[in-house]
Amino acid sequence: MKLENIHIESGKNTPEVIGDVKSNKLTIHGNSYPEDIKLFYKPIVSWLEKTSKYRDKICVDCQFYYISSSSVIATLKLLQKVEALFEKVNIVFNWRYEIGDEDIKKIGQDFSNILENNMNIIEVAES
Amino acid sequence: MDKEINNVTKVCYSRCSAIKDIYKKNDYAILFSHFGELSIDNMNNIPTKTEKAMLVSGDKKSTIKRIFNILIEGLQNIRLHGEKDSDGNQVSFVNIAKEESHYKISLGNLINNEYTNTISKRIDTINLADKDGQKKMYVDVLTNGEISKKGGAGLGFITMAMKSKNRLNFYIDKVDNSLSCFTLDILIDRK
Repeated sequence: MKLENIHIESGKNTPEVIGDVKSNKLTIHGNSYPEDIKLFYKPIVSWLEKTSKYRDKICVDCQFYYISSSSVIATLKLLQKVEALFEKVNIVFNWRYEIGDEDIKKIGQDFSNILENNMNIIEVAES
Repeated sequence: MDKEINNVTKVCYSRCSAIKDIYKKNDYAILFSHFGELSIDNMNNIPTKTEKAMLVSGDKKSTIKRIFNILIEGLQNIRLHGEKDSDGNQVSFVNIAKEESHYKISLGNLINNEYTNTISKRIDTINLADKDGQKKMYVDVLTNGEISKKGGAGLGFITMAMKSKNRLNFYIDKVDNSLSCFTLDILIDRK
């Protein structure tokens, strides 16, 4: 079984997803409000499951602009899946938000309180 | 069967018209109005068009984001949970209006009568809670929530209330023994 990168291009209501096996990094950036969020995240979960068999470390880097409540829950479930697949000390979670976007910042803080790993809450410039 | 279909449309259209009449009487500018089935294109275009109109109006970015998010939740709620009439039509409506100090969004869809009490109690509980109480409810659902088969997550109403920073007004108009027209009427301050 060959370990491959994953790349899902951004859509009107879905984020760009890049899973890179060299850097052990999963990046999810953009808008997320598809009707069927489970369907959207399914290949990402599969990629994580496969990657966890070959890699010890993982960094998940998220940055959202518009995000629906179902995507918030699905993203939390995805991060919890990462915690189930990798050792706690080998996980890095980054949560980026645009300057002044308190609502997105608060989602990251809520995740940090719920997850075992802390989120690195990172302020970035407006796009 | 025609009589039943007409009655479904009649009750929903009557509520939609009544809301638009109130908007007009109170000198609101109606930005968008839709009655009928809500397509996936509507779902994607309505928030984007509203966002563009708000940018032109000079609204604050934070207000634009709050309204965009309320529309996402409300429109997905209609498409995921709106019941269909006996002819298979998912009758619904959306009105977006503005005046100097605030925006109004009304969203209507059919619900099964067996859920009217549950929905009423759910919204009443959200409306009775203060900001901290709503946050606690939100975190509770977030911590324990699951995505349902329909794709909902149980955070829609609470998210809309938190984003609007106002109570969620709602109407339930009985259509017949099985269906009612459920309408949310949300006020969002522009400041």
